[in-house]
Amino acid sequence: MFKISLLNEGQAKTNLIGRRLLIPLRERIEKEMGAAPAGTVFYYDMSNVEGINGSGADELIAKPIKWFRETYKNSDKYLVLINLDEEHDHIYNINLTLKEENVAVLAKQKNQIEILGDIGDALKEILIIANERGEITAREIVELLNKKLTLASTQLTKLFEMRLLKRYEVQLEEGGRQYIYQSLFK
Amino acid sequence: MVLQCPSSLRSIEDIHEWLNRCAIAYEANQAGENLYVDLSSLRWVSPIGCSVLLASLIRLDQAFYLKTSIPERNEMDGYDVIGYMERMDFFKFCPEDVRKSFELSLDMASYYNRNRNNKKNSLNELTVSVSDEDVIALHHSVREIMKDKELPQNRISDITRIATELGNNAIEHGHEDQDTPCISCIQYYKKRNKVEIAICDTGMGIVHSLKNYVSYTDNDDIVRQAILTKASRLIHQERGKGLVDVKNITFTWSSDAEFYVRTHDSIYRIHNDDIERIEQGSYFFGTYFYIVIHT
Repeated sequence: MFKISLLNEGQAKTNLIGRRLLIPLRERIEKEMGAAPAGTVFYYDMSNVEGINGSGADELIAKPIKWFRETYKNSDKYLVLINLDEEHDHIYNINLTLKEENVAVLAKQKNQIEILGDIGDALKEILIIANERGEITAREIVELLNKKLTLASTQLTKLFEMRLLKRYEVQLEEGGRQYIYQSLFK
Repeated sequence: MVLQCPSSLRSIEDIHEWLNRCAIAYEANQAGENLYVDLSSLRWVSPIGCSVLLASLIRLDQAFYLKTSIPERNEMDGYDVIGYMERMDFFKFCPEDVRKSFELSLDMASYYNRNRNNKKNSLNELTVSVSDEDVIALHHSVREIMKDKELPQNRISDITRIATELGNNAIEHGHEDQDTPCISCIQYYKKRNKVEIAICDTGMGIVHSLKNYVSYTDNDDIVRQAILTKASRLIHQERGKGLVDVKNITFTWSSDAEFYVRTHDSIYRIHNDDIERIEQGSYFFGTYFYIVIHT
């Protein structure tokens, strides 16, 4: 995973409040993200962040994820968060904004995975399983959850497009190919 | 002419009346002249009233020399409006001319030198923010104060989110080419299960700020678009979400919240999916948000 610093030079801590201050930061971050190779999983270490409001969550989290979703076929990039701050209520604030913007992001908090934003119960169930196992295929979802193969494939593809799972393709011994979907934290 | 303050600056209707009078006085007097501000009848002030009084006097002071008659003190009232204003830090931020009028008429030192009560049970003072960094400081101070008052964490986040979105909005959009100070006052009345939020600026108002950037049918439509949609003069930066966020937070917390704005020449009540003009008056500078949430 590739760390993206939310700090400007000389800062030990920052606050993601106020678009005017954050737009230059987002532009700097997007430049850094754009230069990275396809397949990169970026992360923000939120322990450097104190306050965050709706504008901050939108500029620094929602907008980059929307950009990754629009360009996933070419650039295949991802963003996750680690070390969210409880005292500043990061989870609550980021969740509110991401639900409003119809995007989602994964966060790792004390070895637990948090899904921020609203993806619906069906996708959430699959995403949790994929993260517990590290990797998953559509066939495994069929066996575990008793779904039809086409539905399982569609739902995994959706999570991939939403930038919540990576995937790679393998050749099957019996012929044919299949996708293996992988946790962003693997 | 004399700018006469009403006896009460407590409700949204009171402040609308005061701002109407400010508008008339502003038009009737030449810039650079003396403006006589008569506060002698003022008896009752609420946090929103104090915020609006401060914001409007700051604005008037930019155009006129203010000559102020202070509120008459009546021992029988049992309520000291000057004492209340001082506890709110009104005199820390008011125009120098206004403060001097009080200091010449009264022993203000006895007010200034009082011990403030324990913060936990006291009022929260007015805050003036003039920069984005000040709004960040506002976030932190509100957070600390509300923690002391034992409000649940998510509700504290709702309040700081409302305050900072409206605060940044005020500073950035009050004028097109200069930052505008934002006056804020946030109170949590634990025993009354009520949070009151007042955020005011001295800018040009929502209608003037947006009218060159949106299609509209009338002024009410501009205000409606500002509050309920992502309409913004900075739409190329994909913005305009702050006021929508504030509205959503308010009504998600409390479906019977009272949310008002006084801007341009009217007061509006904001509902979850519409706005309603309550009263039209005269144009005066500034946008004044007033939110009451029943916790």
